Amino acid sequence: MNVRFGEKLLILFLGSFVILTVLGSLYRFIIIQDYLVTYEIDCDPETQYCYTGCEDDECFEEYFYQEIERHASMLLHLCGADISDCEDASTCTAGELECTVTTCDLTDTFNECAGPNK
Amino acid sequence: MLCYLYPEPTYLIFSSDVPALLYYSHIPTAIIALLIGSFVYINAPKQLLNRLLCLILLSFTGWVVINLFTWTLVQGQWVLFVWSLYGMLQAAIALLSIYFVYVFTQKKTLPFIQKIALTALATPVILFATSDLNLSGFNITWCDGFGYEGPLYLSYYTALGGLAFIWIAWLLLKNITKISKSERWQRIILGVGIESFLLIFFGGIYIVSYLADLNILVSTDIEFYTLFSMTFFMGLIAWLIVKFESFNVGASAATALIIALLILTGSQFTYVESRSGLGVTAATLVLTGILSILLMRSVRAEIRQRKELEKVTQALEQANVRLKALDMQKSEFLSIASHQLRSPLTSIRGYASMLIEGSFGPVQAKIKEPLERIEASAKLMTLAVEDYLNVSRIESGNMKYDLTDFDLATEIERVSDDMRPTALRQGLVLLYRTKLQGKTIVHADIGKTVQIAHNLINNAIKYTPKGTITILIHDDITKKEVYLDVIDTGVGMSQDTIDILFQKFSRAKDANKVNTTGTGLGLYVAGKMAEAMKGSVTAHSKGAGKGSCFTLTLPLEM
Repeated sequence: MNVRFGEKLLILFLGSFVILTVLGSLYRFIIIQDYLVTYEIDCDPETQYCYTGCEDDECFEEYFYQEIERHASMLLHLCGADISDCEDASTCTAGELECTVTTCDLTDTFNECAGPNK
Repeated sequence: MLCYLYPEPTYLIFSSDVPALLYYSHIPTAIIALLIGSFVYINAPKQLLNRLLCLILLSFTGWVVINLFTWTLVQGQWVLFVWSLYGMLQAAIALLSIYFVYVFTQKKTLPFIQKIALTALATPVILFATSDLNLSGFNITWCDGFGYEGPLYLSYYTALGGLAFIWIAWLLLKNITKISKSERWQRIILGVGIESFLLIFFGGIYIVSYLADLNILVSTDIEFYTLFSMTFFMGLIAWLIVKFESFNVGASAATALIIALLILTGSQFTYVESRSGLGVTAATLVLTGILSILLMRSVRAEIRQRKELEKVTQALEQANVRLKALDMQKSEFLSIASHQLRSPLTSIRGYASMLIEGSFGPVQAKIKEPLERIEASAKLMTLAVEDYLNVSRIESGNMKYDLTDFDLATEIERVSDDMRPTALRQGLVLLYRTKLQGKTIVHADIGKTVQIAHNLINNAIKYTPKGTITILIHDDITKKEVYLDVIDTGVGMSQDTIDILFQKFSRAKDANKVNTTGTGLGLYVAGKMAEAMKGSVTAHSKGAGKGSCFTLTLPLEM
C-alpha cells in the first residue's frame, strides 16, 4: 500500500473516530442523560445514621445528610433539571432500578456519623 | 441536572464561587498557548514541526477550556460531556509531543509504522471515551465527576504521558554526542521544557484525580498549578525561537511572546484582591510594558542586523570567488607572458655574450661596453622573469620540489665561494662561518635551497654599501633544526618594513635609492619555497643603518 495513501487513511480514520466519539458523548450525556447522579438528602439523626457536614468554614453549624445515587434520567423524569424543591428527589420510587440511599457507616472511620446511639 | 447549590456563571466561565486562582492559571495560560501556536503556524504553515506544535497547543488549550467549564458550569450533563473529553485531549498532547520531538531531533517525519503504533495507542482512549470505563456519573452536591472516573481509563491515558516522557528522553539523548553544539543546546532547552511539562501536567492531574476519586482530597485547586508548566515550556520555546530562530519564525514571534508576557502579568488582576496587591500588579504591568517595548526593539534590531550581516557575508563570499578566479587568470597570464619573454631574452644574452667573447670577430672597445650593458640588463630581466614564473608556479600549485638528503653546509659554502667575487667587486668582505654540533643533513630540494641562499646573499650584497657579509651555518640539536644566517652591515630596516617584507611586490622603504633592479618578489618566493620544504625564512634588524640578518631555517634529517 502506498505510504501517502496509508497516512491519509490513518488521518481519516482518526478524525472520523474522534468526531463519532464526541457525538457519542454528546448523545449519551446531553440527549439521553444516561449516567448516575449522587446528591445529598436530608437526614434525621434521631432516627437514622447520618453523615455530618458543616454549613460554614469554621463549622459553627452542622447539618446531617444521607447520600442517594440513582439514574439521572429517572430523576429528570421525577423532578426536572432542578431538584432543590422536589419531594420525590429524597426517596427511591418503588421498583426503581439503580437507586440506593447510603447512610453513614459507623464502622467507617473516614466519615463522621451522627445517629441514635451517637 | 442542575447543581442547585452553585450560582449560574456569567458568560459561561465567570462565577463568584470559584477560586480566583482558577482564572489566573487558566485564562493567560490558554491565551499564551493559543497565541504562540497561532504565530508559529501562521509564520510557516507548511512546516510539519510548526503544525505539530500548533496541534499540541490547541489540544492543551482545549483541555484548559473544558477544565474551566467543569469548574464553572452548573448543568451536570454539560459538565459530564466536557469531562469525558479529558482523556482524548491528554492522549493527543502525549502522542503529538512524541511526534513533535521526533521531527525536531531527526529532521524528518515519523515512519509510517510508528504513526500506526501511535494511532493504536490512542485507539482505546477514543473507543472508551463514551463508556462507563471513562465516566459513569455525576455528583450534584459537589458539581463534579470525581468518584465516577474509571481508574483504568484514567491510568491508561496518564500512562501515555509517561510513555511520551520516556520516548522523548530517548529521542533527545539519541546521537547527542554526534550533533553540533548549537543543536545540542536546542535539544537541551526543548527537552527541559517539554519533559517538565509532561511530568508536572500528567503527574499532577493524575494524582489530584486519583486522590479526589478516593475522597481523600477535598479541594482540587492544586491542579491549577500544573498548568504553569505549560507557561514554562512556552518560555523555553520562545527562547528557541529568539536565540536559534527555530520554527522559522522571525520578529513577529518575539512580539507575540511579549504580548503573552503582558497578558500573564495583566491577568494577575484577576487573582489579586487587596488594594496594595492591585497597586503592585499595576506597577509591575507598567514596568513589564516598558521593558517589553525595549526588548521588542532590541530583538527586531538584532534580527535586522543578523539579516544584513548574512547579506554582506553572502556578497563577500561571491566577491571572494570572483577575486580567486581573477587571481588565477592573472597567474595564468603571468605564466604565459613570462614564457614568451624568456625565449627572446635567452637569445639576446647568448648573442651578446658571443659578441663580447669575439665569436663573430674582434669587437671594438667602444662597442664592447654597450654590449656588456645589454648582457647585464638581459640577465636582470631574465631573473625578473624567473621570479614572475616562480610566483605563477607557486600560486597555481605547479612548483615541483625534488626532495633529497644533502649536506646544507657543503652546498652553502659552495654558494658563498661563488658569490665572493661579486661581493669583492662591491668592496665587501664575504665570510663563511659554521657553529655546529652535528651534521647538517637536510631533506629538501637542493636547487631551491641554493636559490634561496643566492637570493638572501644577493640581497645582502645589494643593500650593503660597505662592510661585511657573514654567512653563518648553525644548528639546534634539541629542536632538530639547522639555520643559515646571512648577516650584513648594510642599510638595515624598521619593524614596519620587516612586517611586509615577505609579501608579493613589497620592497623595503627607500630600497630604490640603493637598488633599482628588484621586483619585490624574491623574498616572497624564497619564503614560499622554504615553507614547502617545512622550513621558513625570517628577517631581523635593529633598525635603519644597523644591518640585517636573514635566516633560512630547515628541519634536520636525523
